[in-house]
Amino acid sequence: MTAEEKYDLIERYCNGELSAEEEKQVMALQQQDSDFKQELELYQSTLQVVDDLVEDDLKDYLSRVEKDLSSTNSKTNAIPLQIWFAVAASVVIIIVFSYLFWPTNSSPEALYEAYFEPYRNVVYPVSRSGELPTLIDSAFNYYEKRMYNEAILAFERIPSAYPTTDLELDLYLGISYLANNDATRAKEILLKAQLKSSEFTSEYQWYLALANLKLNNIPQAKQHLKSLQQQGGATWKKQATTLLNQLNE
Amino acid sequence: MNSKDKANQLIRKIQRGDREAIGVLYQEYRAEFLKWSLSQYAISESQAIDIFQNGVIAFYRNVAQGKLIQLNSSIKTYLFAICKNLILKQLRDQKNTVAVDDPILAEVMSLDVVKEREETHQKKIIHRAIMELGEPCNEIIRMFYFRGFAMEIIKERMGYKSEGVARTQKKRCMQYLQKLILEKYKKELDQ
Repeated sequence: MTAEEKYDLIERYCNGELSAEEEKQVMALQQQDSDFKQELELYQSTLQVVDDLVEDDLKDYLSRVEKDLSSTNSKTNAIPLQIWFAVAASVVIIIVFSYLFWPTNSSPEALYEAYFEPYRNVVYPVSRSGELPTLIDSAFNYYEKRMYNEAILAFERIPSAYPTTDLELDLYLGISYLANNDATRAKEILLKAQLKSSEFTSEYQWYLALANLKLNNIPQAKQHLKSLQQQGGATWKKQATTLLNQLNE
Repeated sequence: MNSKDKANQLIRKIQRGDREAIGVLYQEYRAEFLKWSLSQYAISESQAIDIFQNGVIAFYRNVAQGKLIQLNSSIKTYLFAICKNLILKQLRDQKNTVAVDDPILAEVMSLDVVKEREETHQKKIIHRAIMELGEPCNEIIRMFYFRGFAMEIIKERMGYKSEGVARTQKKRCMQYLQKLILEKYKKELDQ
């Protein structure tokens, strides 16, 4: 069987398109051919990661739809018709004030709200077995449940000498602070930690940009986004470019 | 259009990779679902919203991945059954026992509704490799989500002339991704 044929078999197997006979062939190959087995496992894991990425995007999309619906509903429910007449005269003034002082769609605050999303835990598989959870388990568990006060406490209690250099704990600690609206502390942590990290450079640049946006430090936010445009992968580049364009509007 | 036609039209839209279709679905049934679920179960409004979002995503996943190819009931019946399944799971997790006696619910149980995530070291490396992929591979790899429908979607979105071109490009992207993943493993071993 050629490499090409093996790939086609794997792809169709994962798509659920094989006949019973072909499925048997896959089972046999898994036992006899270790390269085939490895390639199949990699393909399956890739599909799982793709599924998670696409569904995270869907969840963000539905959350935005929900946000729009909730704000429309609360506006319409909160203001009875008579009040509309009573405030009609003030509308012009409100519009003028909104234009001058309220955050517009491209205000730093609004952009921060639109773009900030806690980074997915891609470093530590949280143990959900009956075993006693470790401090790291608890920290990431709280993080995944978006309970940031608890996550911060747990992350900060993990001893610094703990052998977790590849876990980027400070990235997640920084993001937890940011999610908790403490952008100043988030920025301090992220700035310090990014110097030690070689692998997560893009993630640090992105969240530093957002922390600066939250603090209204637009030039610094732009600087991080520009670095991301130069060094990041395609997804980061696209994200950075879109946000930069909106900041420049 | 009757409710069955409407359901099958939605299915075709999802199979073509139309994400907006579920936004419309979400808006259409959200209020009714909230009213129904809050009156039937001891859950909070934010829990109900979260469950409804996960239910809509589960519906999308099963259609997009070819596990659900046509509906024999209305979208609402199906979607609510998926969400009911999710509510029951949540209540079960809170140590409440709930009996399953609903035929549609039993049908939904066989679908991939509750999806447990498992993070492994390998998945971490794959995730990072995908984030570093350039275009068009980044977009193409994400279309693997649509399993058997992916080729058609890739052909249309990327403007390729034939499915053959899409197939070659899809395979090339997968090979490139594998190369990136192996490089990452090697880099880790060297460190």
